[in-house]
Amino acid sequence: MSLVNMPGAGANEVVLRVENLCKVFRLPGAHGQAFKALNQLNLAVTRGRTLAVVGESGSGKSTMAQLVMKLQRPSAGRVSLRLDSGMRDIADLPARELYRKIQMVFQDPYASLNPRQRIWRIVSAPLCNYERLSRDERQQHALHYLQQVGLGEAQLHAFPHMLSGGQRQRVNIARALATKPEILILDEPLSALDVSVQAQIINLLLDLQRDLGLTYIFISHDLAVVRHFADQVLVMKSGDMVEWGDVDQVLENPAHVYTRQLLQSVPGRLIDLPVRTQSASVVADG
Amino acid sequence: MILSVKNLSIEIDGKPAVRGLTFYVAAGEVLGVVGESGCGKSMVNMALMGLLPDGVNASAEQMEACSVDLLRAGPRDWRALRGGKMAMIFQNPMSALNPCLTVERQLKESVLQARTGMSRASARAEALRLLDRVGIAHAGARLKSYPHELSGGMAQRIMIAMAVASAPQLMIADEPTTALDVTVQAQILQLLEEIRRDTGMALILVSHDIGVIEQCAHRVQVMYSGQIVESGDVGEVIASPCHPYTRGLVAAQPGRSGLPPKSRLTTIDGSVIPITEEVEGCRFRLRCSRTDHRCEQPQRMRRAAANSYRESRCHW
Repeated sequence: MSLVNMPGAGANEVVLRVENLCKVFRLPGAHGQAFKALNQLNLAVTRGRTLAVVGESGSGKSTMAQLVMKLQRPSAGRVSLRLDSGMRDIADLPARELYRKIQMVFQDPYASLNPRQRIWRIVSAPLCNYERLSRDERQQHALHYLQQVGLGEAQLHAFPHMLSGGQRQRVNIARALATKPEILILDEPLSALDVSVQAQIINLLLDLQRDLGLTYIFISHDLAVVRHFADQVLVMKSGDMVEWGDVDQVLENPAHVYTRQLLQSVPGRLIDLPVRTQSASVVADG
Repeated sequence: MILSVKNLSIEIDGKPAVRGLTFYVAAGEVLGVVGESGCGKSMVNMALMGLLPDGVNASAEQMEACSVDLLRAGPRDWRALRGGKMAMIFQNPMSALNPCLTVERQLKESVLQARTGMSRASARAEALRLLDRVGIAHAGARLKSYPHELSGGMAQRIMIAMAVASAPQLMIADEPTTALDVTVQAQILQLLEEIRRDTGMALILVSHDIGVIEQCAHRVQVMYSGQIVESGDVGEVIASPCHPYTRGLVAAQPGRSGLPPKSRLTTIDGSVIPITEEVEGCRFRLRCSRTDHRCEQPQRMRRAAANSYRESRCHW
């Protein structure tokens, strides 16, 4: 596939590129079979835009995120990131440099914050990898980022259990912002939240993108949110890239049968499909 | 009426939590219940099934299900009701199944509970029929499976098979698809609808997803902080909500907001007040965008339109 045809490639500057990325896991057991979690993924993400990645569980969305974050090693292929010096393979980048550019917000705000640390410690922890900071300085930095996500002094000394789900997700975002990254990977950041809180977090993410020029990779299974929030969408199934393109184009004119199936599965009238066909029939899954 | 509840209140350690719920479900009807976490949805379900934990007490003027007075039901009556005329399925099918027992053991248990005295062979045949009914292929082989060998959708189908083993008149489904993928969710919702159509059972479908309710329910009631704040025909309520909370919930959904992509969504200010906290007047007052002195009085459910059964707990 030529680079021009990659999802996300456009007139703007490419900040992240994934080429032929593969990940094979070995299933447990002495003669465990190989399981292809990700198969030949290619994509490019442009600055200041949002690429949504959708697909059902097991489609390889989170594996992709972990490979891009260098939390797993790819079996083949590479991920490169734009630095001032040009595109660099993340395999060659020291962690310090990588995590200045790219950060991640995790799905479960209840599990992803250390319950024994106060919020200021959690938020300022990434900074301690870069410079020596006094307690006061750390608290000042933490307050700054908390204010950026709509929290404040009241939460600075709190423990995670004292906060609501929405507040915790804000803390997660503040922590991700602390190294001033250019790219945020958002791994289902809304799915553990209530509807009205989801809307608040979507608004926050939109504001941050506008103010800080952030680039998002937004992993989600909620097509209504994707349509509202993303510029481009990549549809995945069992480790394969099924379809990609501009959100309007893919969601209004799905070319692949699986994308259409996903759209038809959205309950209620959240998304109007141009082609009304029978909804997914009952067949045993798995 | 399969279920009629009048003025149901639930107290946690003596503090009021659920406050005066009145509702009913008719045979063959799907009642949708919408609300955010902590609004008391699950507590009401537990009260209906007689499963409230210690320290949590329910009281009501009337609570009658399948012609049994639940207020006077003793342990024997409850045992006959649960897994008999009433059944319940839960959010996470994986944790609802016993991981140490095969599907066959668990399914046969439900079958034998519903029909005492049935032979083992015919219980197995019935289990096979049920698996077939809920759309599981190779039912014979599946009977030997343990829960960890099943996908989430498959496990939820088996929970449904166990629930329908007794041909219940009322099924309570508490967020049955929240843990599932969107394509599997569509299959499970369709299965529930088919069973309802074939057996004429009533279904209480609890969800925080307005889309799910819109697709499946006939009537909907919206809960906020231990009260029903709006109820009525599902299409009417979603198309033109009367209560400001319902309006906020509907508008907060990106697919319904009617706003252009990438614009800020309408949100409800503040957060849900704890269910046991006392509030003077309307419980939504502190988050509402339109308040006056009348909101300082407790609000009752009012008829929203002359010739409709729509009600809203708001005076505007």
